Amino acid sequence: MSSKGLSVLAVTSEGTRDTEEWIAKKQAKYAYAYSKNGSLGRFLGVGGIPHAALIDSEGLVVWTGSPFQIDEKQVEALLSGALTKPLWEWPAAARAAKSAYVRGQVGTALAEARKLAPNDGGAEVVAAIEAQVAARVQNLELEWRRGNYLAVEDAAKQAKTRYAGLPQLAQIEALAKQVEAAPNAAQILAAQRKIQKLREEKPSKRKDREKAQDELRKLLLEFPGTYVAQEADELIQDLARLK
Amino acid sequence: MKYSSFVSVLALVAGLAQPASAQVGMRLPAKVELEQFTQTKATSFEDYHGRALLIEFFAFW
Repeated sequence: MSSKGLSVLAVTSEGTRDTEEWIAKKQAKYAYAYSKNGSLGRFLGVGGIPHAALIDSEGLVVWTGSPFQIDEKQVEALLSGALTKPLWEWPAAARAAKSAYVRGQVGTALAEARKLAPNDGGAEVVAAIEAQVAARVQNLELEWRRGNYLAVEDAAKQAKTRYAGLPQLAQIEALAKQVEAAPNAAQILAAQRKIQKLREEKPSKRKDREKAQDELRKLLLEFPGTYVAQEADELIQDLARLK
Repeated sequence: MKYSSFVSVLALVAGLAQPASAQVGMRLPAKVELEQFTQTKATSFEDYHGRALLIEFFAFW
């Protein structure tokens, strides 16, 4: 799936010497890196080994759990909007494009890539960026149809910087206007922000988790059959699984 | 290396499956501190920018 946009990275917080010996002994061939301070594992709630996480192409955590429970369809769903040509495969001449891309300035990255001479490999970079931008706008239209107003609002906030000079900027701004004009948009956005806040707070005490679940149940009743209700229900279940 | 083979290797260090967590729906921190990238041409986590990513935590024991 690499050519479709998926990368796999193994991460360990163990010591280098023991790990290198183990890798050599097992003849493991996969990409790996060290997390010496363990911060990534803490962020992703790793409580035991093995543990896995799926991250979408915009850095959003979409799943965590046992690697044995990964659903291939879930992985495939992540590929829409992912960069098909990883940054380390971009030609050296595309340095300016890469730098802009990493800063989140996709429009500038595309403009820089288009400046490259044909034999500098610019066409492949241009194709990869164009495909990603088109897919991301398509995904955003899907989120709008699902009722995920917050995703549209968040994308619109970043769009001016991210997609400057691209026709997709106008498409995203048009979606944002549709959100603004939708019935109960302000209430729905407020409910989504509340769910986001509760998710980020990650209450460690049982009493606080129960309080959060009560608030989420209220949102379930207030917004039945909507994307808000779906998000609230998922978080209620996630909080119930935490010990 | 096929994904299934990758998981099989990790099975050698199997532990208990962890439940889904409330981290789902959150964005990774702007700076992810990883080092010594090995068996890849990536040299920093930044190089994975824009890619869909499967992160597997493992230990040698």
